[in-house]
Amino acid sequence: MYQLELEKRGIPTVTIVTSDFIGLAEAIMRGSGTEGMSFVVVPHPIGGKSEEGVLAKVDAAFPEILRKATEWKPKRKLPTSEPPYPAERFKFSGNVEEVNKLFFERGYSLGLPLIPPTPESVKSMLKGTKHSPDEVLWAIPPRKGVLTVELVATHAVMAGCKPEYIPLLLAIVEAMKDPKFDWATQTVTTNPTFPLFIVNGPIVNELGIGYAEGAAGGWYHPNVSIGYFVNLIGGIVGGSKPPSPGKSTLGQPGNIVAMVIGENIYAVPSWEPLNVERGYSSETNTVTAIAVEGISNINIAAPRTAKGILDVVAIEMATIGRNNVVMWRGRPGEDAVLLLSPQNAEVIANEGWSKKDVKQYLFEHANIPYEKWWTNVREVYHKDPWYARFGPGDIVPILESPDDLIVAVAGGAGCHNQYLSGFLTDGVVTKPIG
Amino acid sequence: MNTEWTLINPQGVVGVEPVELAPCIETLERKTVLLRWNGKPNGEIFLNRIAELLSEKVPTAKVIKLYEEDPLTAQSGRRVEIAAAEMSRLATEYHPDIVIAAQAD
Repeated sequence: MYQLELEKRGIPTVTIVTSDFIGLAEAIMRGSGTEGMSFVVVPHPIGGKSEEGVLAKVDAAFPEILRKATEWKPKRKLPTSEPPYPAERFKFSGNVEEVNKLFFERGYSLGLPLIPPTPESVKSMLKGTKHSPDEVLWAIPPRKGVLTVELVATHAVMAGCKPEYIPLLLAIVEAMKDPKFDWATQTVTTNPTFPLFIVNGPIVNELGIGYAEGAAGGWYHPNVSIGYFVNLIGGIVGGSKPPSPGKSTLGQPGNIVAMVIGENIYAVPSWEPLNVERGYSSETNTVTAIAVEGISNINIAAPRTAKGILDVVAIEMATIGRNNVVMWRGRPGEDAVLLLSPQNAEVIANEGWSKKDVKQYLFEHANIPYEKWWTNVREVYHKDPWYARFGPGDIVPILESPDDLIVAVAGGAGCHNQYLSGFLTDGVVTKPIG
Repeated sequence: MNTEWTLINPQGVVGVEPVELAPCIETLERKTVLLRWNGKPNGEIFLNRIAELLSEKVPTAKVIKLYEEDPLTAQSGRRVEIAAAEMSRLATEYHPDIVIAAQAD
């Protein structure tokens, strides 16, 4: 991405890529129209090697670097002129199992069973919206596949969604394409980030979106099918597929079915629901999207007070293996999500604490000794002003402000809460559901 | 039993117009070579060695290490579009004839 900006400004570039990342580099070039940029491949990895090992790789690659710097002549391709609508139709003879096998072989599937998208089923799905099927919504990175309303309905069919889910699916697409959400980076990072969507408003009950027991664990049709839809469009239209350009080191289940839940607004009625916190009325249907790294379960086994509960949460937040603790601190945007169980939220609320009080307490108490923190801070950040103000003996906050934390109540009976640290986008995105 | 399907291709067309790439330079002699690091581990060691080799093999080339001139350009994790535009602005301030960049892990 950086080099393509330079090429656009008339400055030629040579990019050095390790062998494991060639596929990603080529995908980014295809998705940005810069196929033909010059790059030199060196054996993976560079990180984690000894200095001698790195120097040996440079010396071996240097003649090629010189050659590419002065002799590279890119081959050019003609621009595509295919219209995005209607999507291609094709014929196939076989049973459902064979359709699934074909789709997987062609890269039209993530590997889970799907419902074959026929023109008739897509037409039926489109009854869920007044948007025209030829409306272009988004060119999804990194492949920059063009997503139309027709294709939203196509993937909704494949995922098993119902027509009445379409307005929520369209709002999710709007959230994903918001620059703050930075889907482009999420699709090519080695981090196993996946999206979390929290739904608010009357639509939660209208569609039967799970918000209580097991809401994130399956058995709720909208939660599961909508989460599946998200990764279908990301993987198939957007082309984020491992080993390239999808580079997640291991990945996690949220990369197959994104996490979709409703907020449990009934557990603590005195607390503002997330849609109100984000500037909407409680009757406005909204979806809030956050890129998260993973789920930490917090079992409140002993404490019976608000402070006791939150002290355990604060300790859990203060670990150094998280992006929001060690990477690029000092940038704007929300950093993490705390999903409190109704049981623990009630204890906190019954002592007169609001969500704001919870955030303030965690801002003040979730911190880490400098010596522990510094062991996992990359040298590249050492001169950054935000990092440089801390030194031995200091305490480093996990959050940069109380508002960096999203707090919501979700789930059913039990003392298990979930903390989800943020990946590294510019924050949380909330969209109304039209 | 086989069914005769008409199916929709779910991939969508690719909506990308080719970008005109910058013209290549034919020599590094007396050129300004800017080295750009994405902040990933050992990338600066790699680029520092390139700088050494360039000073030996092409002593008339002027080599600028962008990551030393402006360390913020080496921070990974910022939103890609913002960082890219900002970084390219900085790069043009140094008037490089070519940029050699170390990318990925």
